[in-house]
Amino acid sequence: MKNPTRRTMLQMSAALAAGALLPGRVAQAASDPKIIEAAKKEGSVSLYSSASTGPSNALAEAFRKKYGINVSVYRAGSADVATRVQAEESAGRTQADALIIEEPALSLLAPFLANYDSPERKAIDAAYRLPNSTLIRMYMSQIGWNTNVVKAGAAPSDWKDLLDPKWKGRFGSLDPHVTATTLAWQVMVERLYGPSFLPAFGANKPKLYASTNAMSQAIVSGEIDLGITNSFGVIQMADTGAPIGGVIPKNTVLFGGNIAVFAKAPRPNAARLFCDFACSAEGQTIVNVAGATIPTHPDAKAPKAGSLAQFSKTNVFTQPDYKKIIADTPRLLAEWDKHVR
Amino acid sequence: MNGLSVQGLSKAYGDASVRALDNFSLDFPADQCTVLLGPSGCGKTTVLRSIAGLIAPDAGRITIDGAVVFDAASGSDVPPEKRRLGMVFQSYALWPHLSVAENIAYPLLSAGLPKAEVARRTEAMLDWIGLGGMGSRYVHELSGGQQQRISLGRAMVAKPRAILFDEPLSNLDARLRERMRLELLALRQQAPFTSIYVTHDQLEAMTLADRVVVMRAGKIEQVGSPEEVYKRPRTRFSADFVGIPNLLEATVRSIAGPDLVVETAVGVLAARSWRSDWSAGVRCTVAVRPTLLTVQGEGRSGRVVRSVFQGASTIELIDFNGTQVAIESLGEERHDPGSTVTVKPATGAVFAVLDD
Amino acid sequence: MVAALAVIMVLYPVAVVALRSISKEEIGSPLTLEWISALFASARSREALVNTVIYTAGSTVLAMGLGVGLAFLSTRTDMPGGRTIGVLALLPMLVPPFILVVGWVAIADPNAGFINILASALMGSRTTWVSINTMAGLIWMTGLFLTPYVYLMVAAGFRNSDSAMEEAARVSGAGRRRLLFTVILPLQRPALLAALLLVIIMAAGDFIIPATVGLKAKIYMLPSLIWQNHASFPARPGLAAAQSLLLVAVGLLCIYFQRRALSRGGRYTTVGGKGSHPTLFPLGKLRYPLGAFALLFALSSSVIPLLAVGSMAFMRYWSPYALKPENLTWRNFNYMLFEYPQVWPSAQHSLFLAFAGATACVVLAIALAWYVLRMRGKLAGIVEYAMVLPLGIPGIALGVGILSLWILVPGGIYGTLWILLLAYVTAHIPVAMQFVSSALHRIHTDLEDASRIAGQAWAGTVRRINIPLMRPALIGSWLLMYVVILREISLVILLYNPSTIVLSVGLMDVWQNGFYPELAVYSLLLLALGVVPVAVLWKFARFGAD
Repeated sequence: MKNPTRRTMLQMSAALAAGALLPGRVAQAASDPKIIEAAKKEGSVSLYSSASTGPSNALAEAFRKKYGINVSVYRAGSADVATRVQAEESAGRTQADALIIEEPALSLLAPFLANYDSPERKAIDAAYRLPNSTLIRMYMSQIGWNTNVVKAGAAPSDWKDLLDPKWKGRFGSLDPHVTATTLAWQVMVERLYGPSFLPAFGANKPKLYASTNAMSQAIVSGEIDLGITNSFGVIQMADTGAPIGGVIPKNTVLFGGNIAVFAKAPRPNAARLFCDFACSAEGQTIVNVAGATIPTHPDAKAPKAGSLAQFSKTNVFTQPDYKKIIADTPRLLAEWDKHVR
Repeated sequence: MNGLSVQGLSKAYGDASVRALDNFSLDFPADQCTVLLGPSGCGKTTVLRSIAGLIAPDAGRITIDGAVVFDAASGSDVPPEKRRLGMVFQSYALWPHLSVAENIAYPLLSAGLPKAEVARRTEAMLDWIGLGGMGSRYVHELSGGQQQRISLGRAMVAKPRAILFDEPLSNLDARLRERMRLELLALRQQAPFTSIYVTHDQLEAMTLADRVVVMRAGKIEQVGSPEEVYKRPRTRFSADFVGIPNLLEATVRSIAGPDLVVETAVGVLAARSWRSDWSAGVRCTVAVRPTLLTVQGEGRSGRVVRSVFQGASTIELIDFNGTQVAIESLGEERHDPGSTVTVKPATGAVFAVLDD
Repeated sequence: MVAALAVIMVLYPVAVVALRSISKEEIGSPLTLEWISALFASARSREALVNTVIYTAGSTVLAMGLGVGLAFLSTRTDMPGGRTIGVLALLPMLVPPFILVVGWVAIADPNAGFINILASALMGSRTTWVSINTMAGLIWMTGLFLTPYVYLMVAAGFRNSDSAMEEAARVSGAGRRRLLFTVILPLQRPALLAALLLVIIMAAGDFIIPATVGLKAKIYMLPSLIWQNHASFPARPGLAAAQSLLLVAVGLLCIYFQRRALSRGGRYTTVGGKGSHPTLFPLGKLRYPLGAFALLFALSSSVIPLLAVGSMAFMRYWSPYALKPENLTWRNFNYMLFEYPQVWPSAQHSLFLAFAGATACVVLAIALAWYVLRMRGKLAGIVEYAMVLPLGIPGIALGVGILSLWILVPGGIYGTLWILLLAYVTAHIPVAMQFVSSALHRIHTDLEDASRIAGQAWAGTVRRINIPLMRPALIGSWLLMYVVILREISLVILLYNPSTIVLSVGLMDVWQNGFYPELAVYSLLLLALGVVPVAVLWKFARFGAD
């Protein structure tokens, strides 16, 4: 298929869910029939998700097609979802059943989540499992660039290439004041290159963006030549034919979206069924194909973004320690303010 | 109709230092025109708006046709829409979004009359004010005088118990004003109604009033027929406001009953006073109307300061050893400034001695 | 009674914000001043304050100048095309500000903006003629974004003014300039002050522009800090609340000055029942040049950024270099309008809420304006201040306040469309109040007194006299409410449910996904929904009963 667009990819994943075309057999999700029945009685499930609309909707739609249970999706940024959940929980009016969220919001909401060991997650590596949540879609920080402007020879290959004066004022970065995940990146480069990195980074005058998606768009439109973006942004933009390419540096930060179930979910069975589906190879295929992210289930087929197995051979992933990051935030932010302004 | 009466009205603004009305009491006889005359701030508009129900006084009582519409003590306050009055505003207050006919019909519709009757009476009123056939026009298409008449028509159409006039002629030119005055007079003679008229123009007051009430600082200064107030003002203020320019210092020469003989700069005058405790030699003030002095042969002499031709009359300012007196005479005889003339008071004229 | 309820409705979220700013953790925890001192303690915060002042002042001056100028030119002079220009000037109001930002960035970004690409092509090397990533750029965008508000509020006043006063000045020898500055403008003081108040507060409280372009330009400002403190980790809602409180204080100050500057009752009344038409100011030689300039300006400030965004809807991906025929496609329309599940439900909800919300706002505003201006009720002063407060609170903070109130009510309206309606009304009643108050101000009390003497009680008087006379202003403010509610986002982001999603939220979703072509299609839909009632009711808002 020449230049499949995001739209067609979503259509494909929907088709996959209906079992229509399967590029190779993907194991169907299998849950306890008792739970399936109880869930059907509950009739619907409410999902709060901080993942992009595409993957959130695709997963919801696939679930509905499979079980005939309606999914209503509340989609907002991590922090907004967290605020909402906290408000509801403190008023005793939990409305959500299932949650797709990233760190550090996950830690914040941990008190409200139920421990659930879905049968579908047995195949997933223990590193991606917590008692109350499972990572189902992974992505990482990388450098993306505009292929019309940055030619093969001049392209950066690692984070320290960003300090090259030829990129001065022409590359983009996130702002840790706005996106906390940038703090994880900051911690990593500090560890890799020492305290001299940040001053040099700041001296090269990065342009600051509020989100990686905005940055990807900026790269494509030519506002900046390159930037610190994330893997799915680059893939999705490239799929539309946009002139964007990139490299995943050897050392990089791995981020992930988790699926979890609320302890006080109004529809606990439907919640668990949904969780099963999201953890399963089938569900993970859908959500990762739609989002150009990497699945954690070894049998899921979302080749575009690569597989964790492959990457573990070529890259060194840092999984951020958010407790430490949160504690360290004032210092990190102060450092940032001092050098990158 | 029994007419209106107000008793003991008081109203203060701000921190009670500004008293707009001070224990004001007055009866407004039925079918008569009472004019409240006075300068700005004297409280005349406050009385009017209190009667209308647009202002609630701090104290006092208002009775219309025998029914109490306001009583500060008991807290009763009938709202304006129930007092069945009519009002003509200084700004006319005609509604720009309604046609002439709709403006006039408004009080009738508000009274809940059937449409046919409303239409009939509106037409009749339009004819009566001389705007028959113009019902479908809009206010801004008409002249000031016409707007004034619509305002009046609207006030009258619902046969109110009384009509209140709030300086309605101030915005008209002099000729129109004169015409409207005469028209209003004719109207009242045709169909008498109770009216309360507020103005600061003494000519209007004199022309239109059955009774003039001179007001000052929230109180009544003097009440009487126009002739009474004009010929025998009680105080300097009344005299001044009614338009008498000559307030001369005088010394009492002799007393004969209610009459006094006083010595003034222009000569010896016969005068009458409201008080009866005069004795010879006492100083007082006398109001000397300009028309009651003539410039002629024998009399005191003074120097002409200024001579002004006013069309129907001439006013000349004559100086008598420092006292300046205005004299008004019909006819065209004029004297040059600087010349000396003699001035004689008209025989038999009675001047007013003023209380202070 | 209504007044008391309205005050409570508005004060509660404000109280929540205020309390939160002095509580260590959630409300109910020990009190502390640390958040308030943090406001001034950190250099970043101080810098943000300074920037905010400059930015607000600049945008205000620009918006007032443009708004008043355009309003005057199009309503009181013989400049040709006045009506068209009026319509164009209002276009930016129909879409959320970030759409305009997208458009302006496409035009004026130092690297990817059309202007600079053109310049580079002409000059042969990379040239930057204008950059949107500067304080001037920010002021430009915000000023333009706020101009329609000023225009709306002031144009109505100009149209209704009494020419007798101006004629008196001209006869007394006032030349054109003197006439303008000593008579015409001062007579419009209520409308001007209302517009000024609105603009200052909106400029100070808007966070989208500072949070995107401001961030790129590294110009930090108060509203974006508030948003950050709310939306990022670790969330510091206490600090955010303290910062919101500062904005509220600004709002209070503004209204204090406004009240002082306006005298009560009749001094500024111009609809006095004498029925004269305002005459047109002859422009003489300047007529066509000014007309051309105004038209050009209105076009470039509203139409061009919208065109830029609109063009993105047809492209496979967006880049100014990609404007080639092979990149054009209908795909985005297909996807967004037919496959994207949130599209039509969100449109329905938005329409309902916009209609209902606008109507509720106007009705409530009439009642409150009446209470304050005519009944001079005891709570009048409080009502006036209270009704301005929501303007000073960024949408997101207000949303939190409303959320915390209603989530506690069992059963209640949480999770329904009604909580959204309540939020909209609470947040936007200030603007409606400004409009309606200044309209009421313009009606001489004599007209109402005459009606009462003629036999109508208050209700009848309002119905037969006030409302018809205020109709253009009422329709104008209804339209404004409609449009503003349609594009309101930050307020509702916490309050909506999947079952109550609205267009603006869906739009923000797509925006966060970063894919401009889809964003463009959705924006066009929003634009269409906004334009239709405006186009239909426009006539009535302009040529009212008077």
